[in-house]
Amino acid sequence: MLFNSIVFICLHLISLISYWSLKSQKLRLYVLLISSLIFYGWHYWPGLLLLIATILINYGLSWAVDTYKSKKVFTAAIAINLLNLCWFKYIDFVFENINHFFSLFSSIKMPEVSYWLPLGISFYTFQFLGYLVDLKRGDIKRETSLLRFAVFKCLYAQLIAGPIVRASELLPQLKEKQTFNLTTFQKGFFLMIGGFFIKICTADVLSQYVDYAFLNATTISTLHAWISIYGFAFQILGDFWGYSTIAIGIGAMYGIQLPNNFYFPYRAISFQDFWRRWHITLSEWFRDYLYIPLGGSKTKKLIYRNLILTMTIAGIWHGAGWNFILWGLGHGLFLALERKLGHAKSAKNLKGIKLWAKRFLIFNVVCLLWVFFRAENFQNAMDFFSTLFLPPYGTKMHHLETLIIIILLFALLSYSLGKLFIEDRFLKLNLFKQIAITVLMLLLILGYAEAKLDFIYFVF
Amino acid sequence: MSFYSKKLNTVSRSKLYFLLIGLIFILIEIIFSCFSDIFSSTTDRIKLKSAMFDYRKETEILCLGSSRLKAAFSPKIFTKQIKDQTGVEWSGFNGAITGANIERLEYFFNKAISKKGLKYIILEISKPQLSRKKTDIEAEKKAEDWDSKIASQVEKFSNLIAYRKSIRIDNLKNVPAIIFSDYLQGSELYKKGAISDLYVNGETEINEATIKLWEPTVYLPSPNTTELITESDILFYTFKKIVAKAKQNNVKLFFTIPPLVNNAKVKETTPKTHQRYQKLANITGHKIYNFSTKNIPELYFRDKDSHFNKKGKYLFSIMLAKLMIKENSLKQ
Repeated sequence: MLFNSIVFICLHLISLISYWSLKSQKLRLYVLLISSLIFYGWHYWPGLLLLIATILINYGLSWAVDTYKSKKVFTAAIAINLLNLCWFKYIDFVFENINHFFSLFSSIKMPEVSYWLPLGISFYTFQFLGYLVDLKRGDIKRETSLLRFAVFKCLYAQLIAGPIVRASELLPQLKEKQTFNLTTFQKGFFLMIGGFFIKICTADVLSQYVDYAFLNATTISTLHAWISIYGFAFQILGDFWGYSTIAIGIGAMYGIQLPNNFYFPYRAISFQDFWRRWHITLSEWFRDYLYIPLGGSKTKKLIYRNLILTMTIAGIWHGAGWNFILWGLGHGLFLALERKLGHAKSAKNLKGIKLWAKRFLIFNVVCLLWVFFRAENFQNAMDFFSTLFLPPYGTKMHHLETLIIIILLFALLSYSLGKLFIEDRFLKLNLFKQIAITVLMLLLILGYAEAKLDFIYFVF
Repeated sequence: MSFYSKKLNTVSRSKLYFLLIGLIFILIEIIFSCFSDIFSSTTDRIKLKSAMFDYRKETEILCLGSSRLKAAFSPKIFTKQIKDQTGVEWSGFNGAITGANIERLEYFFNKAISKKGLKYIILEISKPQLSRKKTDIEAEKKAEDWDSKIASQVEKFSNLIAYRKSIRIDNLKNVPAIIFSDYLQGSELYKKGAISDLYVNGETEINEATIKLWEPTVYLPSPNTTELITESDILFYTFKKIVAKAKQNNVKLFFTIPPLVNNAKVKETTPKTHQRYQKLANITGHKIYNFSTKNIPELYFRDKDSHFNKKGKYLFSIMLAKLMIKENSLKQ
């Protein structure tokens, strides 16, 4: 089920009313669980079976990890989750590349395996992995209630595209009986509307222009290509920031606080800074569960290897394709280069025009790396890069006025919106402004909500 | 005023927030319900033109066709010419729209035919009208999946949901076009240059040479031919229905094919096309005036496409009025 659909609004309303009208916390959790399962199964019901099976298996695995305290059991639990993820997400990619390799000198062929990609499998797998690691480290206590464990794993606000919530953040909130607070509810409502606004009125509109540009990578002009990558930079921000804001808003409407996932990422002054602002929960996940266990920045020799390896895996996590690997690798290389040159530290002291120049530079490099991310495949990315940098250079544009206006508006508005969403300024506004902003957003959402486009991060 | 009062506690503010938002949307819903015909028309070209025509008090002459006729016909110039030559004061409306195929033409015709005072309909029958493609009018989406079924049920209860697309700024701009349609003669406000079109007429000199140059090829209905038309031959069958309906409502029809720029002629002046025009003349029993066979200079067209510029529009509207008077088509 998509967040931007009438069906979701109906489900959310029914779920909210049922949740708050029940007195027992156990019954409330049942409401959340049933709503979450309907939400997930609506899209493709066999995916629901996999989700339920994964929850049950992980419940058992967490018991085994907690009871036996054995490294072997823990490794097996991690391996089972990774195998599940790899089988559904990467098997095609692996077989395709093996076939390509063998085709060079023999006729051996791997079978074609076409599985459906379960929605949000990367997100919930990472949540399971994080839980198991925390349990092994003794950072959390094992959740004994299957109901709470299931709600933690599949709460519909964050199930498909994050934020990746940790057990230590969510489980205590599920244990505690929430009391209805109208102001928190209002904040949640506004965040949900705000998220829809960013998604529908910017990301969805921008996507139409960006799709055209990548589809016609070889025929569009240089200027068209450059404007389109800026378009994609704001499309993906709008898409994912929008989703995260909706998720946080939905959580708040249930009295559950979900972690913030974005903090003005295009104002970053270094790559390190960018990853502290973009998809924060994922960056922290990689930092805590991969980068630090690999050795982190303890040894100077390994720091560059760890950075590049972590980011390349982050790239693979986003998608099974060479373009995603190159995207991650690119970020890893820039992070390593930055560390080597000491730019990340020195950037903190920048002021005035130097600060903005650095922001501009980082933004443009991030935009160029987005080409790998958005391209259909490696060839498409190369085609797009040749249009961006190689002659013939052209300035012809096909109906890009709307795209340019939306990019500029979004660039200008995102800061103010961020202040309202992230820094909780909405509740401090006077009532007139609160109502005016909400009504305007709602009307724009209603007007533009017709293209039922998926959220980009659903496929991760 | 408590609206701005900081003394209002947070819970009361939140209550007031939801209450006022609810009231605003109830008000919007009421407005949508009262003027649902306007809002439903703003998002679709043909429905917009049709609503503009409905809102007009009186119109004697209506033209229907594609963007070629839309660019070629000025009701203001046409009716002025009629008045100058015959003394009859009529008002006209340009109902032609971009991409008008047979379904759209028939849709507008059926909505317009019963309008009080309507005397003439000028119908374009060039290539778009002789092709059949599914349009938004006939392609009313059937709810196939559960999402669509639930969405269509919700739409039944709320006009705001049903006509939400009209809230878009680009569609909202069409509302004045409907309300003030008496002044607009078929021009939509949002179109670039539509307003200036009402004031600038592209006046140009007309002499004998011009008249001769613009003389159309005429397909005369053959009295001895009996063309057999069945329902399966949808195009001709539709035109037959249109003629019958016009006769029933005492509205006269004038079939025309607007001029084409030279490089576009190849596609539309094939022997097969001429045969079709002749067949149509035979079936409808009406003369068909084809301007596309003439070599009209490119200076009357915009950017070498098949659409007239202001000079072309001026000349075509005058020539059409002269032709209709000459052919004795215009009678009160």
